[in-house]
Amino acid sequence: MQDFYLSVADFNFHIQSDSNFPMVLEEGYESFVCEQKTEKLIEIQVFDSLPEIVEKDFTLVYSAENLNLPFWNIYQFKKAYRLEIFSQTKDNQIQQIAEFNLDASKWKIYCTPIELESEKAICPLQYPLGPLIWYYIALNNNAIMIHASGINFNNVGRIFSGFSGKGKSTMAKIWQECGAKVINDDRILFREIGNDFYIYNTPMFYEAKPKSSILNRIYFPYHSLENKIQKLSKAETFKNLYSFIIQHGFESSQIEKNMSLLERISEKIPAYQIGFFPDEKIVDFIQKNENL
Amino acid sequence: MMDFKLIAAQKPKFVAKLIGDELMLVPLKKSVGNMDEMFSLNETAAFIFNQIHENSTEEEIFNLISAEFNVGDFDIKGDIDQFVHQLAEYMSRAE
Repeated sequence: MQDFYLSVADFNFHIQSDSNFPMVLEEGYESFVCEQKTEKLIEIQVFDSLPEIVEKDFTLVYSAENLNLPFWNIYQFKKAYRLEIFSQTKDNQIQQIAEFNLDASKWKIYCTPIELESEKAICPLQYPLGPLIWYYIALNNNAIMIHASGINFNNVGRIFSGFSGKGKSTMAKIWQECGAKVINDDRILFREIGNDFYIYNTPMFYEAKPKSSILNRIYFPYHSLENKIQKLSKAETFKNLYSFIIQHGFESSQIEKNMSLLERISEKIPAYQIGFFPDEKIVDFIQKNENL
Repeated sequence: MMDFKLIAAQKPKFVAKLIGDELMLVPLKKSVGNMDEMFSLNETAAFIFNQIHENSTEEEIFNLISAEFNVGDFDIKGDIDQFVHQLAEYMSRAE
């Protein structure tokens, strides 16, 4: 038996397999491997072959495509879900199958060995399954993933949320040059713990250490010739946040969970539209004006 | 009116949640799509949305609004028609 522990956004995973093939992880995961944990473990059992597929037992509830190719399918069974992940290099070939219970606390991952330089190995969390696992765990634990950069400066956590080109990475870079810790410049997972909200990075395709911060302010940036700020109402905050969360909304209860979480965030965390010219003056501007 | 029938038929394909004083409508999706397609309704629009059923008529909706809100002598039938048409157009895009 081989096993290891992983901690992502303070969710603790125990991943184990009886396979004779070594388990490997993609590059971005290495820093998230941790010492043995005992509390609130999410158990993942890994197998080195794909199970027999009995389609009639499962109902297809969601399909995702990438560049017109099948990417993943989600099936629902009585008390379980099944994810089929398709290879993006070999047409219609299944890369992994993952089955998980309704609260996403127990997983079985089936994958076929991949060729490495010197040996064959199994890579259970191979993209995109890793992010899909965080997604389903988040959904069941008052957490959510969002297109945003996140920073912590002088113990104040801020996110800058928006689609590509709106300035979230640029903003993170400017704050970093002024001494801020960047949690991530593109994708953030945030969690509600007690009365507070926290932001985390998750494994990416590049090496990065696990980082987190409390969340105090939310910004929706856009490029502008002059810096300008506008405080948003609760409803405006909610609508903006909803546009940028990562969501596969095939079931009303899942959408309602996300909407309820966003409602609580919109209620508690001040949020602003921020037009900015990309230089260091925006850091002072925000700190002086954010408590409008 | 066709718009009422369409809205009533499409309602189960949406999740509605009151945030502040706005009702947010979000479509359920069975494939990757524009999940940011949210439609927000103010208090009056939300009232109309909640009243619409398969056999609704313009007269019935108008009478309900007149009873609920102080519309005075204003001619609001045109506004109701326009809103119901916009709502039906939005909801028809859901799968």
